Amino acid sequence: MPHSDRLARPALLLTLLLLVTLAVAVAIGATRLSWPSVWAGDETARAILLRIRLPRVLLAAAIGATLAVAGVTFQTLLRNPLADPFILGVSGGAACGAAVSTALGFGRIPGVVPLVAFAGACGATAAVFLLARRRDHTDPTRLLLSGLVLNAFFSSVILIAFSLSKSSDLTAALRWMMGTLFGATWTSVLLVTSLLVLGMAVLAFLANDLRLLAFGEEDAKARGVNVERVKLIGFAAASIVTGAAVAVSGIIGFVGLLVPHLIRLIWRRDFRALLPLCALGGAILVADADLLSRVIVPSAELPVGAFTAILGVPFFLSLLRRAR
Amino acid sequence: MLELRNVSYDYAGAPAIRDVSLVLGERQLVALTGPNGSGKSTLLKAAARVLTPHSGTVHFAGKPLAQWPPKEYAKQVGYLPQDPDPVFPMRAIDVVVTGRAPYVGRFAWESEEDWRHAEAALALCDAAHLAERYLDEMSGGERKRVFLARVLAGTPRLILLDEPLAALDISHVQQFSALLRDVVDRTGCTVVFAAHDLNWAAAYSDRMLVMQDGRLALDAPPAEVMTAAVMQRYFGFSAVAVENDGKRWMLPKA
Amino acid sequence: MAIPAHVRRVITLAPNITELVYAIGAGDRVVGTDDVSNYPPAAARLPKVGSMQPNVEQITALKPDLVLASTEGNHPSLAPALAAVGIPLYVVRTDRLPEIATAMTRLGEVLDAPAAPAAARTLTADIAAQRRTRAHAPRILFAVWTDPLYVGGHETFVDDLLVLTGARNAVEVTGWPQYSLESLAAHPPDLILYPRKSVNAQQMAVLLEKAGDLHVPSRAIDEDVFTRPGPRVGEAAKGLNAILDGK
Repeated sequence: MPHSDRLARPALLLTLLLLVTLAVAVAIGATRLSWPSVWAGDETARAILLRIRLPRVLLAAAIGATLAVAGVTFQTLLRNPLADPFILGVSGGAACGAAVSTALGFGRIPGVVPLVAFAGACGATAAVFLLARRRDHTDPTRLLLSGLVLNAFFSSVILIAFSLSKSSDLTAALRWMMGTLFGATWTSVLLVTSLLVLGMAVLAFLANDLRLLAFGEEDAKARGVNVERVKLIGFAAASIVTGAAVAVSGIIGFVGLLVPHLIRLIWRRDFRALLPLCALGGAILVADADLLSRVIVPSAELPVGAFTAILGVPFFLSLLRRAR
Repeated sequence: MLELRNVSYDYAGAPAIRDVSLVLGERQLVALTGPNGSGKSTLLKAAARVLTPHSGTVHFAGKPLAQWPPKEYAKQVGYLPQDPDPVFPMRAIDVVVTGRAPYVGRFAWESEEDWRHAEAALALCDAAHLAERYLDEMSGGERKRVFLARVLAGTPRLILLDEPLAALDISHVQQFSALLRDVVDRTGCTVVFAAHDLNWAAAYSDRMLVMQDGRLALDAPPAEVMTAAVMQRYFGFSAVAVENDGKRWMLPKA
Repeated sequence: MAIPAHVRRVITLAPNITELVYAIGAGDRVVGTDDVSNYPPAAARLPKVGSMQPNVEQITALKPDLVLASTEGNHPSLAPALAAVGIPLYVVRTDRLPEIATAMTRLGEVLDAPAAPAAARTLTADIAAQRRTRAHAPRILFAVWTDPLYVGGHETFVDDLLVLTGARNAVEVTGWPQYSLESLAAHPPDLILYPRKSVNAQQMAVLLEKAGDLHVPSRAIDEDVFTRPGPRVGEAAKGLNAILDGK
């Protein structure tokens, strides 16, 4: 039974795909870049490539990887194939923080809204955790319910904030709800990437324990896993990276839910392999979706979340039909 | 090998097991019986280290459990809960090899030896032909055998099974009971299994434990437990004995 | 629903409609407006009935004979809701510059305002007076929001103003889409205009920095005048000409 290539072959294939995707995404954009002129030192061409296009492509990949990693982690921790990174109140908390801070007028000060969104995301997850905690045990079902309820609560707050604010502020809050990679800076790329690397290191450390959770918490405990500690650290890691991603680019849907299933359908692996494979898969999906959103209408940009669905769903459905 | 002394555990104030003392040696097939709610699952969980007793001590190989690192303990003691159900689809061989988890390092994959143990375990459970099949394509009996193989793959000295015979077809119950006997005889480990069906519990076992209201009421060989008096007193029904292929079966009076 | 012959009580659901009604001399008949209507000052003091989703109860409580809305308002559920309480709705088209004078005349007929035709003629003259041709038509970008960048493209009211005053729209898109930062960097405009109530200078500076440290001058303008297709369009065009001349 060939076991040695459990990770190597899929990882190699996805890495190749990612490199191709990144190359194409950097080569194509709203403006036609003449490579000789970039080489020759044309200021504008260089600015477009190095300050606008390249950071954006890399940010798209980093965000995609983050969301897919968070998605597969939540699905594993909650033992629920329908979990996505936003399910535990992250989306509600971030959007609420963004909506409330813009409604209060802080949208004019750069940096405030992303910070509040991040704080909102982390705060919401912590709240969900505390709500679901009972005698130092957090039951996955209670977590899911608390997350659902909290998301619903945040949605109402956002609706109220919307109706009370001026229509111009709506645009600002919509940015969080729809998600966009506009205006990506090297700072945001660095921030998201370093958090992702840290988060993945933590999750890789826990990977062996996390995959055992698939059989149930009691079973995992009997196999020597410190279940409560693994859950706490796993949730914290996944929530923090998601919070940062949402703070930077808003809520980009489908990636966290879809990519883990896509990877699982193609290569049946456990969490240890899923972690890096989902990161690669998520990076590919969002980089491609962002490319489409940038070039389909000349000079204009469409919501990236629409394309993650348009790209991912048909692929997913065809895999589902072929699988069984 | 395993020694419980005055172990108690309660769920939210209601006692589940009370003052249970028990010594388990090597090479024994032990049936754990008792009416619903008598504490069988809880006892197994306390022994498997899924629960920590609120009072009393548990010793394994002379050392208290607290001195056993969890992974080391998992190598010695295997546990199978009532309805294992991995949420995502998996092949049998992949399920079974997870039984080697305590042996696999943090950033490592399973070794060749781990895979050999997994294959051997499947063969021992007469499930080698199921290796490449997915769990959801199997019958209940086949799944149980795969999960037993999973526990065996870890080569534990003590195996704790929670209601392994439940919801199995009669033919599979027969097979599985014989299999447990076979495992004990061939590997020398001890198997403790909780069972509802007294007759199958007694059929191949060396020893029977009877729980009542959280206490260990009876600890004796099957011949002493399978009597009308015991049936009446601990299980609450009038029974008549029937000879079944050399074993004594207790059937409820019509 | 049929519009009554004599309209004595009117509710307006768009700020430009409010201004138009006042401009044709029927302002004394307005009994309520949407939340955003703030000009003339008298209108600002009137009861408000909501903006994105007007409150039908409040509208009904003010007992109007007629409710006026603009096509930009997107009130698909409004007409049946008002019909259910017996209040007629009249929708006025004022998306583009040439439609304003026509809207004035139509409103004049509906409201029976004798001053309307003259007001419409004055407006048309005011607009015509601001028509310019410039040797080097400056490329202007109108930024509605900076993060992300939303612009006023072709086939919009803002575009009409730019064309009127002899300028050119710096973007090649249509409508009010999100605009590519790359396109901004590759084809920098001569001037960026932005609404002062929605965007501040700091946000504009951040945008220009992200576009590769673009050195493009920017001017804040009063969106109440510049983006409302209403009677003050002449003032808007005059202001725009002043900016373009002074440049």
